[in-house]
Amino acid sequence: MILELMLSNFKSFLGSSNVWGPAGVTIPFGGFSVLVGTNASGKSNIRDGLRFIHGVSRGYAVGEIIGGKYGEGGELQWRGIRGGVRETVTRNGGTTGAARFTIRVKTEVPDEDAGGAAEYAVSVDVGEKNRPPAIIKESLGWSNRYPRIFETWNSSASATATATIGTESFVLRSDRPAIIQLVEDPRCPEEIRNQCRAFLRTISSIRFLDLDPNSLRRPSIPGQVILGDRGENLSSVLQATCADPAAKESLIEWTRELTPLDVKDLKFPEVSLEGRIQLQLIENGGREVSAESASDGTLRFLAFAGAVLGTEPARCYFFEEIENGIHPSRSHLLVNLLQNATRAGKTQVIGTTHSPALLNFLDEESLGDASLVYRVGPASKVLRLAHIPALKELPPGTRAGDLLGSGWFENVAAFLEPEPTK
Amino acid sequence: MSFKVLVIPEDFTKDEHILKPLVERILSDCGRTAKVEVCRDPNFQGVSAALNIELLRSKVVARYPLVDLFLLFVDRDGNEGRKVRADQIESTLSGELAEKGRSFLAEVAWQEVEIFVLAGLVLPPGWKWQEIRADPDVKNTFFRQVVALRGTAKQPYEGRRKLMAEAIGNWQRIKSRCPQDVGALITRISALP
Repeated sequence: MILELMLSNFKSFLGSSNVWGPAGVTIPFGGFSVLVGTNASGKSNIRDGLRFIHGVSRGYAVGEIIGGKYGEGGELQWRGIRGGVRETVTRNGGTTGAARFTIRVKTEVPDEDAGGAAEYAVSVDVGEKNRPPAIIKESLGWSNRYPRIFETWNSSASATATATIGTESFVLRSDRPAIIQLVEDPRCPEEIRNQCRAFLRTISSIRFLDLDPNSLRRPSIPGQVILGDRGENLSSVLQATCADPAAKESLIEWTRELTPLDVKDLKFPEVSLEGRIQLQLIENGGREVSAESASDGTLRFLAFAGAVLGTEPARCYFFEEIENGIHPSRSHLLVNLLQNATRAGKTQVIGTTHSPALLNFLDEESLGDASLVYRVGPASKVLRLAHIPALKELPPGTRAGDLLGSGWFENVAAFLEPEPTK
Repeated sequence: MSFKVLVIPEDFTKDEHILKPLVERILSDCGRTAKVEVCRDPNFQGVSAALNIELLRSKVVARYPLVDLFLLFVDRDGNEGRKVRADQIESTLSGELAEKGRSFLAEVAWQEVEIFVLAGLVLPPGWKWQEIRADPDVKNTFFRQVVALRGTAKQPYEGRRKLMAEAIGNWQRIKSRCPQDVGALITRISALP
């Protein structure tokens, strides 16, 4: 589980280009964390920060994480960070200046791995015309414990960095995360490599779903049980889920709740010569509704359900604008589905939303874990809703969603900002 | 023309799957041809807001001029004062609506609305109805056990729709097990003009 993310000099999150300088902005997360805020407030930049860390876990070079990764066959394996090297770093409103950012993430490592809170930080110099991006500082440690498991320092952004572990020094490439190189290095003590692996597992299992109705409708091959980031393989993911009769019944119940369709069964007929299958909803009376004609919202909802109820749920999902395609009067179902999925603690959901209706249905715990992302001039800031004292003083019946729709949260955040120093 | 009934729960997200079929069955028992809908907005999300007469008057009664009978249905939760408060609200709002030929009733589930699901189901061996009925936290103590036994935890709202659909099939059992709320409501609705 991701406990918090700190972004410094990263996109709209200001901080310091000096990696020893003032900290940036910390974003706390709970089991089900909703991020609210106006357009361009910085919500998607938080996603980019998490994607950068996720890219580390995939073993990519820094240039690939930011710019995109292509496989040996020329296929795109990883979309880069929006804005590339020029816009990943905050340049105080311009395109010049120090080009360094820092991301720190704190994660809860499950008991079976190591147990405890791991803290990983990486500072990157995004480079200049002919100089590729390089890691200038990187560390992994257990929260509040010293010494760190490892630490590297490369102030001049040169091609190599040195990690010291015990009495041994490891000279590493600076264009690729040290944590990956240490895991791959047989000279590195097994205990250190295991600790690195335990942390990497917590961030490698984040899924960033940005669902697209056309991808959701596309037929897939049985056995493709991982839902693609755009919703690819929905049919085969749901087919695998339906192998468990109880899970199938749950999916049918969710569909009945969401839609006016009187669904009694889900089927997956072959629809192509290559053996691809496609979801079909069967109503009482025998009417068949294929994924081709099912509504966008129904497919998006089924993708959420397939993701969290499926055979191989990820440890963490990041959903952009989770309410898209869902009628406001049905958004409570989405909340119920995601709250239930995260309650056991094995799956975490982080989602952005503009929906007052969705916010109205959050239970007390999830509302406490929700955060407002807002701007003060060029700087994005984050305020956890639980930390707004005025929220507890409002009259009974006041709903968080109504406050969101009226801009109340932004007003309060502005009032809570410290006075500028003269 | 159908008798139009609006059920006002504390929190429609969980309660509608129980209260809608229950109230439909009660009306049928009273010989009324009725359309029953559940109030979704405002969603009170708690008994204190649901028992706020100003909110009920301005946000519910005023918004639904088509409704013949408003039926407020909240949990008793072991709180004896709740019935008194519900009766006061009923008395005031039904008085205000009477001249228009409309009605307002307030009922208190003994002790939480999930009791109606349990009342209709065949219960696990060894469970005593008197203990279930008296438990102010019946949802957590008994209902969740049934959810676990039936494997409906991953369904919407822990499978309330499906479990209540099964329970309502045992209507005589619900009536006999719940005289203080279901039985009383049948009597009171039957007496309406």
